[in-house]
Amino acid sequence: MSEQNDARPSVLRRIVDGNSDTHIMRKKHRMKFLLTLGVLLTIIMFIAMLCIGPTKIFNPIEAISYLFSAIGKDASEMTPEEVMIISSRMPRAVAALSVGIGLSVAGAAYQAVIRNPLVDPYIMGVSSGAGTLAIAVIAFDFTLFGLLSSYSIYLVAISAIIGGLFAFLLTMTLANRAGSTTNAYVLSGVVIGLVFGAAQTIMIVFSGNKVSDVLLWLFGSFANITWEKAVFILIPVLILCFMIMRYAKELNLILLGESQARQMGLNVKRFNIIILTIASVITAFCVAFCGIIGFVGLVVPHLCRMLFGGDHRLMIPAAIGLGGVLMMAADLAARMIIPGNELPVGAITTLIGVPVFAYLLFVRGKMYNG
Amino acid sequence: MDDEVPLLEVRHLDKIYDNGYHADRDVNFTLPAGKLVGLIGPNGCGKTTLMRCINKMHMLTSGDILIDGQSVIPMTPTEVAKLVSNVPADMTASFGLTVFETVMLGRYPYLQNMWWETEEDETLVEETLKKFGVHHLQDRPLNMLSSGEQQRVLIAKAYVQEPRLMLVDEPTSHLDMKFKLEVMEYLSAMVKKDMTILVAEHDISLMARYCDLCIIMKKGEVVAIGEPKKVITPELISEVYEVTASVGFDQDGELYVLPKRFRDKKGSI
Repeated sequence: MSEQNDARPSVLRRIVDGNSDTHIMRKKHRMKFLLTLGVLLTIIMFIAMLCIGPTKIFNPIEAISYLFSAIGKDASEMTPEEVMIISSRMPRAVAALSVGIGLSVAGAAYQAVIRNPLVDPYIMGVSSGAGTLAIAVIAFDFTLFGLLSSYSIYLVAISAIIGGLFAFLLTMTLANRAGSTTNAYVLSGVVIGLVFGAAQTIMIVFSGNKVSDVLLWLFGSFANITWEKAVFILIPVLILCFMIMRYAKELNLILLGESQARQMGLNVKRFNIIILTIASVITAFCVAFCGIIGFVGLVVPHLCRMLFGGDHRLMIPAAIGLGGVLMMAADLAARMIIPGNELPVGAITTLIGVPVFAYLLFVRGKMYNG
Repeated sequence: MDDEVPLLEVRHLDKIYDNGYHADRDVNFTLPAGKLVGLIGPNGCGKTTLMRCINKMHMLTSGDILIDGQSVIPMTPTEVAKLVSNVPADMTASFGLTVFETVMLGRYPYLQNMWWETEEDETLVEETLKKFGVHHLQDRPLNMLSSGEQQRVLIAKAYVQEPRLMLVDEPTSHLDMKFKLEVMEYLSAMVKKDMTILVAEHDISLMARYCDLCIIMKKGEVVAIGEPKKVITPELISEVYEVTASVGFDQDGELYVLPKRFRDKKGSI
């Protein structure tokens, strides 16, 4: 990359790009760099999540030795430290990692398909739909017409997934009726989101003494995560993110606009539906157990574009590498800023996200819709 | 016989939109390989619709389109993309896609299941960027270029698609005199033995100067096709555009068209 055209500091450029002669070699070098960086940071952050907590702080070696000593043991034989690591901090780390990855990849996919940098994973109304059914369950013991036992740990989650996907289907139906243009998707999403938002407000007013439970869910938190829940997020999110990654070339192509992408051989309508559906399912799974956590899905894709360029073959892996790390960091901050008082992680991601986003707007605003 | 198969053959093409608008009526023509062809006609005469039918962006209502004697109708979009490329009138690339990345996307139809492009793709793109004078801009975001430079990048992207037929829709609409000439110079330099370029454009003098052939359309029908100097006459301009124009030749023998005033209702001056 010739130097006068590159906004990045030269040291950063050398580390990220290496001394590659061709564009493809440079991209391959970037890929190696970001995979190494992503894996390293994820491991470091994951261990930090195991070590640090409001009740007790371990050093990494202690934490890892507790982890290994606990493996294979029955829950009743474990020491309190082992229990803390293996059944509280570790599932929480896994959940934060999964939700961070999921929201970042979904955000990147939505931004490309809708070709708007301000889009986040909640643009299609998924979060509002999920929130509405979740509140119905939390505040009014809605059991999906008796389909689930009211004590099931999955009740809120499954209701949220159903609500999210229902809102998504409404958005898609409306958008398709309106001509499937990008503006139709955004406007339909906003309108459907508003409807469910209004329904939420009305339910909250009548939720009585359950109001604090409702708000806790809406703010987003990893506090009540168990292993079952963590795995229930991790597996679908990872599978769906890799499905999106397979479409990286097509996500690049769609940036040229729908008619150009079509004449290059892409079935744009089908592609849009596939990507929007996958991204919405990811979002629904992320929201289901942990509530609505803002900003990660908006800011991480931009951060990845700044570091590795707009090519989705690099950007999606980067979003996987960095999204989880940043979410774990935010969760750590949420637990540790005021010891003994856990803050909603959504508030922390927003507090961190706003300055980052403002900076992007100052420095890179011109780069987007020029 | 074989070498007489025309590169493009349009047979009885009709296109009626869902709203009933009849955009193209019984369009028939053939184009040989290796020509720069101008597509001329008033706004709304069906030029863009015709181009979109040729690269299968629109389905035909009836008729057939053959490239190298093969109908495009049963082809997959990828097969069509390897035969026909298209340069849009304007385009905004989002998210700071660089010039290099934009042009490289022209190789998409050939990538299939590969994750990265090959070294050969890269060499082709590098050479094309040099050919179109945008090599020094390769790492700039597309939307930070001037309109003339953007147009060259879009043509370069259509070029690396290695098509048999390139469709160019109003390439000079945003450009000043110098850039207009420049774009036409690039297009005429690109015409090779095996590639034909079809350009829709309003500037008739410019078309007459550069094109080997021109197709004149009015209200969805082809009214004339042939060498510009033979086809473009004051009578034709009057019929097609309903204006009075003088058609002359400058000292270099180049044709120019000077529109003068509306033709009155009776058709006389």
